[in-house]
Amino acid sequence: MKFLFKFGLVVSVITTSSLVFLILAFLLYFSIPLFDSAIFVGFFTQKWDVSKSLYGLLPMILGTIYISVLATFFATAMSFSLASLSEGFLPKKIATVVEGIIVLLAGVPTVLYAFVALFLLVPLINIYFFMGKGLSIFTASFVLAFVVLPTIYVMMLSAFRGVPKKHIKTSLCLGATKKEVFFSIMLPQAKPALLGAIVFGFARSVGDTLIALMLSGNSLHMPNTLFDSARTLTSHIALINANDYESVAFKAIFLCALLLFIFTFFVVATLKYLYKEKRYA
Amino acid sequence: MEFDAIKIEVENLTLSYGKRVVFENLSFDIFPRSITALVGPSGIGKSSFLKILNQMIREEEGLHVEGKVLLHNKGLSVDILKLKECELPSLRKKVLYVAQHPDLLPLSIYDNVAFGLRLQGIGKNDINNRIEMSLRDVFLWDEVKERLHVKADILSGGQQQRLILARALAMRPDVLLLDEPTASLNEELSLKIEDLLISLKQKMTIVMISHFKEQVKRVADVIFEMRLPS
Repeated sequence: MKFLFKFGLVVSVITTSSLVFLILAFLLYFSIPLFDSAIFVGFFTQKWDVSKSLYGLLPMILGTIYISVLATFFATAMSFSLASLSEGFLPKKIATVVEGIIVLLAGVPTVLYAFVALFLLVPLINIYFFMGKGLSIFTASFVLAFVVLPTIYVMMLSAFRGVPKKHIKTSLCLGATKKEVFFSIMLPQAKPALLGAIVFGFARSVGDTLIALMLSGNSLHMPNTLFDSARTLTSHIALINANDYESVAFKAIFLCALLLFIFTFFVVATLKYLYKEKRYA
Repeated sequence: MEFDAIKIEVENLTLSYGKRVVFENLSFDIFPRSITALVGPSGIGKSSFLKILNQMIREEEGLHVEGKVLLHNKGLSVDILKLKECELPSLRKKVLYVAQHPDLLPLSIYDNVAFGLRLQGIGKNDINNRIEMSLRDVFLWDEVKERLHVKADILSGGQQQRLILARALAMRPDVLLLDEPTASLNEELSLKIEDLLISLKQKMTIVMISHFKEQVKRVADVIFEMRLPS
């Protein structure tokens, strides 16, 4: 039994790690030919127009950055407020209800968020706020924030719960109020894990495809304001319709994927660094 | 420096944990500017009694307290069992509990002592003076003066115990609750701390738990023995 358990563990580790390397090898295999070609520099220009052999990915890179940064900002603000209230201030019973509701949000399929937003939020913005700007970076980010919220919230909650109870009791014993305990003891100790939650949420925002696909408008133009339409790298991969597997447009998909892979690598490296910092703090 | 002379009156105090009664109908007075020692076997509720006096008992789950604990100060009487949640921080700054096992905060030696002082809203210069004074009082200053800003958990058990006593003394409480204050100290230091307690009772009311009979005889004005029900 013990042998089987160990064998299972080894197989799982080898499978998952090889899978990562296989994906990387696969992406490099299709992307590397593009590195040599004269059109490589063209990938980092502003115009994507297959009919004119223009393959600029910059609008998609910027669209990804704008939507994920803004979504992470909204989600962090909401998650931090809710997690702080749950762990530091609300009575236990109410905190349990709040936690239950937010965790429930994690189970809602992403398409439902997009669907509801498409019929409620987009017309509202179109009619009352920014005429004809319903499908935009702002709308996609705002809705994406609700998708990312449970992830950041749960990680922040566990960051606060990781603060030893004895430190909280000691500060209460010295006459600290709940607010003083939160700001003097809980927040400084939970900081590295809170930052980790934000980075993880950011990675989650970057990886999401459906919300951006349905709500950002998918424009190929460079976005100038938050109320412009934009396209993310993930949406771009989903939207490219290339029949010729040897075409540059098709190979550009792999370059998009490689960019996302590199980005994810840096996010994971940052997370590792933050947790290492905490361990040695 | 002004310390308030606080008298504590305990009336029919009962502590229970679920159906188990830890102690019941305790009634006695704790006189101002005196040392009251609580003695008795382990598990009889001595530490819990101290935690009732500064209401840290409310942070423990499943414990139920009945009766009255009246704090008499400047002609006013307050039943601390009836205090609202928002009134507890000011009670705990006046009635300070020093735990048996050093409950250090994850901060430097300096910040561990300064923490309570900052809660009291004391200015930086005053904080420095009080830290030095209280560390001298517990005979720790010479051992730590060169490394005040290193993490407190590098100190030895005995040093940590004196540090948490210094932290309490720096806050100048009216009532000091001490749970085995010399448990981790050697004989020489224990005697020095006992002398310190005797000098402190001129300024504050002290309630202490001790398992050392000689210590109790030497420092206590009143000895209250808690016994298991027969």
